[in-house]
Amino acid sequence: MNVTATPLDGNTASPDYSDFVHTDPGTLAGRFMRMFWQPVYRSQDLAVGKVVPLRIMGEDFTLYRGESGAAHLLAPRCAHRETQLSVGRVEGDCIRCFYHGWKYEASGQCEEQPAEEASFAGKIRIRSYPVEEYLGLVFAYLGEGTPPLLPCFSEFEIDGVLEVETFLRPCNYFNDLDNACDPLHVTFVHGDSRIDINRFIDSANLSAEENDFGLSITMPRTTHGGGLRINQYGMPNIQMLKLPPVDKAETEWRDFLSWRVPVSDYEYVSFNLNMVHLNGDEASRYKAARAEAFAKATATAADLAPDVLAGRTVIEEVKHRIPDVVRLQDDVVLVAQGVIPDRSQDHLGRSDVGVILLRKIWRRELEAVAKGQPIKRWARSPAIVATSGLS
Amino acid sequence: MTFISSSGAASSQVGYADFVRTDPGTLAGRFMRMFWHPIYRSQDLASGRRVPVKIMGEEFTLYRGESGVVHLLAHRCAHRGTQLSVGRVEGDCIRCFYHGWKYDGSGQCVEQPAEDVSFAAKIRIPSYPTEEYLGLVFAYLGEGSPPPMLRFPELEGEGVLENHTFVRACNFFRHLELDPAHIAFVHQDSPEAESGLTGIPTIECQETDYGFVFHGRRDEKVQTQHRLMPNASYFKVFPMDAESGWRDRAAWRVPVDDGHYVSFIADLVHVTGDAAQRYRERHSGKGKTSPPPIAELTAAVLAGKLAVEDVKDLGASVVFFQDEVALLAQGDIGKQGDEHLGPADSLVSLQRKLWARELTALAQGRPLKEWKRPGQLVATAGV
Repeated sequence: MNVTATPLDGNTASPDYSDFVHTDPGTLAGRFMRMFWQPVYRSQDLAVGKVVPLRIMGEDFTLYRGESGAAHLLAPRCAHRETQLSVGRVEGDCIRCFYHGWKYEASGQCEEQPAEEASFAGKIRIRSYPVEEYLGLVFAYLGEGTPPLLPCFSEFEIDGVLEVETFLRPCNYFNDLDNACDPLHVTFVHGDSRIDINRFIDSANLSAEENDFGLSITMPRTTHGGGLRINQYGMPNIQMLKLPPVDKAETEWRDFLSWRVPVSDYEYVSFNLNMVHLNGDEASRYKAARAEAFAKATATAADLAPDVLAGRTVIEEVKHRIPDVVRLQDDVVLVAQGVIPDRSQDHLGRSDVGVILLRKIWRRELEAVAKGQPIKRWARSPAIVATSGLS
Repeated sequence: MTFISSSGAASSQVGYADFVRTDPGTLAGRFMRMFWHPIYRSQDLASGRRVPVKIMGEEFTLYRGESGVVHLLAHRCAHRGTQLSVGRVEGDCIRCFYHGWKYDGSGQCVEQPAEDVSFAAKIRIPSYPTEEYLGLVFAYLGEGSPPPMLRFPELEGEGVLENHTFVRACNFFRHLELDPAHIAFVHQDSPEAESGLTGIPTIECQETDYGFVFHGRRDEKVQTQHRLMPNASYFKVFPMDAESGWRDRAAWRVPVDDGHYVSFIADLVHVTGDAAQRYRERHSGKGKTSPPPIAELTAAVLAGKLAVEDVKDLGASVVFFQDEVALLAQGDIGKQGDEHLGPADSLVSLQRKLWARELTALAQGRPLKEWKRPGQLVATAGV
């Protein structure tokens, strides 16, 4: 007698713990990423009373700032007849649907149904998500259960010029997570840019080590007395490092912190913080000079990258049109790997130690998620800092 | 008819749906890859320039080394998959933008600058034979040693050689089916008609050693054109101006993917000496003004916002525009069941018969016909 075993759940495929790229709801990496706070918008772009539709990890939301000044994140659609709530109006700290005026509190509780003589608002509640604002960014917790503590970055809580940048890039977010653990790319990609000093590192002695934050990548400089430059990577998608000064008045290296958040599997948004250590008049002068440089630009990196990728031009020919070539260099190289690269075709060498360790940690964590086991408790201790390697 | 393909799967009869699909592994894709194809225009590839090219659904990196030699490699670096065309040409090598892996023209990795212990010797990406001929870069994208390249001694003589290339948003097979009778309708108001090609021809079409030949008879005048398998043609084209006469044209229609093809054209204009100089002067301004927006005009015609005859002042480009409308108006590929072919469509019927025969042989693992052209081919204008 032949007996054919049928798995109870009907799913014979074992989960792919190496599938880091798909983050829609229900995916393994999507479940993992949703266990952490993620920045979703830049605070300065969300004025009081403004309401916007958001897409994060393939999921849609409604983000608005109430008249109290608090930011709120709700489900994308009204429960009545599925109207996109962002086309409605903010009233106090509530949002009112455009179609028939159902009004929701920030908790998602419906509290008015003006066209219903017997309101059933008390029975209607749409999903809402915890939101916090920190360092000029709106963070949201999109996962299940109680959110963890929002991580703290005291380096960015000091006086100085805090630049908050955000941009979209048309490729999978993991291209940039690999890139964050790959400091050697600076040598080749950014040789002709404001960060070119970071080219001079001893690749033979590059090392990567897991820590409580994520991993650190240590590289001895071949200049400046061989000081140790250390870049930090925070799980799951945070990069923290030191960047060289740009303005002549800067005496200290900048602190850089970045999150790469999937919009969908094919696009991500980067939230970058630069703490420029300038104060008072120097800070004002620096900000004015930077605004002027941006005003003079005749294109954006996002406009130019497709032409470079299509072979219609090269970076050297167009770099004078933008204020900062670093963005364009990364736009080109990260999209040049393919929107979703086939990592099984990679040939990694010793110089890829950071990338190898990052993927190893991710695989381990996704396996834990898949098996319902606890993931590692990631928390940065004060000793985990980025260094420039300059004395 | 049912037979077993070389992959072991049962296939139904080979038909139009097989002719139009040329991605790697498809039947027509395997057939087409047994021949050399033009993939770029030489004049567009200066020394040191590198570009991504897509041919038959497959992507490549094309560059011209500092020696002047053209090289065709795989699309991506073996390290972490970066598109090589965003890198830099060094000598006759190309260096990846991301971490500087360097490849020679054979695809062999020769440097991994970030690796203290290089494993470059173990890394080799595919490379493809290339040759420049008649102002075009040809490549052999198939398996094994390449066959001899098709030559056109008719275009190797004295005169002015001009190359044109354009991409059109339809399947390449549509263009292969442009037949001699279409001229009387599609191009009735064009320089082609003004040159004397008017009226409906009687069409004769025969298989030859190289593909097929067809004759369009209008009274005593015979227009003779040649098709060289699988996708080349040789014919006479109307004069660009009164002094230069009918041109000799070799043209190839190469799939970019199943929804696009690129035409590569080599024209020999029969003017020499002072006449050649004058011809060049008359036409030197061309290409400096922006070309007419053919794709937009065609879209407007297909949407019913414009009629073909509403579009004026396209000059010689009107022929191109008229073909574009006729080809795109046929719609998506795969509707051939709706067609009604008559005797005037003998080119279409014969060509489909040849393709079906060859693709069937290929699917069954039987030998294909060895296509060979004679030393001399005579094309006539028919005016």
